[in-house]
Amino acid sequence: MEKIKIDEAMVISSRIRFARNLKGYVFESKMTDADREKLRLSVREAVKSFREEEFDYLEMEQVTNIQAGSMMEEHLISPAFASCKKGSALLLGRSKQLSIMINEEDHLRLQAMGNGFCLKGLYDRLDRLDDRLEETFGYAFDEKLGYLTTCPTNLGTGMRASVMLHLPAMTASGMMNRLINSVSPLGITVRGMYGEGTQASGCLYQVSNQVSLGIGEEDILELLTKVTAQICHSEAAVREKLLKDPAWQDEIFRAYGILRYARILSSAEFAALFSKIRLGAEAGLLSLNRSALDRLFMHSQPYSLMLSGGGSLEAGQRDVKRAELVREALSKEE
Amino acid sequence: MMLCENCKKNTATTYFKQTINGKTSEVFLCSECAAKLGLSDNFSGFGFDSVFAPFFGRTSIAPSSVCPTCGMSLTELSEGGKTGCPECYHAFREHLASVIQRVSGNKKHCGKTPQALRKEETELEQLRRKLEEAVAAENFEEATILRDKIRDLEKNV
Ligand SMILES: [Zn+2]
Ligand SMILES: [Zn+2]
Repeated sequence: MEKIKIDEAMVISSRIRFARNLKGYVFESKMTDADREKLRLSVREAVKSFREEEFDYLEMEQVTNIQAGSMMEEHLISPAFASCKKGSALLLGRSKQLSIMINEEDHLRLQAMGNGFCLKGLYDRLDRLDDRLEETFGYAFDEKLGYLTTCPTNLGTGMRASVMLHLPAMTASGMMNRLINSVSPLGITVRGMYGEGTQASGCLYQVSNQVSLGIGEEDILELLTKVTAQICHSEAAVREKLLKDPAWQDEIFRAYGILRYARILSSAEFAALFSKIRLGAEAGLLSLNRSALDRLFMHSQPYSLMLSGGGSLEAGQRDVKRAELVREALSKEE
Repeated sequence: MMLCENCKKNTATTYFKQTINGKTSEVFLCSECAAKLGLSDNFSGFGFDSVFAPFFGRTSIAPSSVCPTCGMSLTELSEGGKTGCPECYHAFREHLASVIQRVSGNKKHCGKTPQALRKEETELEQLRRKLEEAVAAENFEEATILRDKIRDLEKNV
């Protein structure tokens, strides 16, 4: 792959997942409870021989809604997995970078996730984990269709790679629709941060490959890398112009002031202000640690707030709790 | 009025077309029998034969309408958009071809292939892969042993 320069500051995280089904089982919708149980236990056994990473095993029936919701907010599991629990299990790597959803839509959804732009490294780790599991189970595979998946849209490599980007300037200048339309013929989609059908809060977007059949893994990653570089380049150009405007700089510092002292923050207000201060941090106007900010963003999501707050909270209570958390985090940065 | 060819009592309300070894035949069934034979009767009336595309080499009735391995029906598949087992891709291939065509064009898989199907790794390739794994696992003791084996092999080449 040729060297492509990417402005790392705008890239929140990278993620790759493989959809896989094991030989000798019918797919998810036709499985019996006994099948599911057998499958999840044998996958749990199999990963023990993967020496690169130790996994914790969580049966989803034992996980509360709040825990599941907060894992979804951290992108450790998919929204679908958080809501349908029977017979499914999560293997979560100690690094929190590798995870395996067992009995999701497919038998296995292997996932690797990391901060910043790191697709290549993630791919290599996932590839090795994939090989190890295939050695044990064998996969449903067809020479023409590739890895056989429950949904025909995931055939081929079964791979979805995505990067999460922070694009406040393009959002503010109304360029997002044009961007979405221009990358779609390339087989790339741009969506809100929790994927399909979700809103882009905090100007955070997920850019991912749409097509997985007829294009190899390396080509998918290269395409996504090029598109990401191009998007970051456009974002940077718009930012340069916008940030010269004192009104924009003013907004960044005001956002900081509000977040630093507010007593009530709704999730919508928080997301909007968060985007401003992250922009400030990326542009060097505010000396805030970007990864600390990203963690704060995750922890301020509704379920994560309830998890740390020790139980179910009404929206109003969450807004108070959120403001508290944000004040505390920002005061640590001073 | 056409009678059901299975029970020969009720009026036939559904029509299935099957092709076995190149020979096309038609079957008329009542909705009860269609359901009994595992053929969904959600399509009422005639004229839906085009979804049951010709299928070769199978002998059961309207073979393409139910997957023989998992029991998934074509109705269930069309409504849910999800297959029930690997065999569904064979049983419903004509139907799925248009779906796949729409999503990915008429393309063939390229990219990763399961190791089991890859051409045999040479001993050297296998050792190199194991070395890579050992290093990634920070298992340096094993890595050293593997590295030495690789050197020995390379010398002999
Ligand atoms: Zn009948
Ligand atoms: Zn099937």
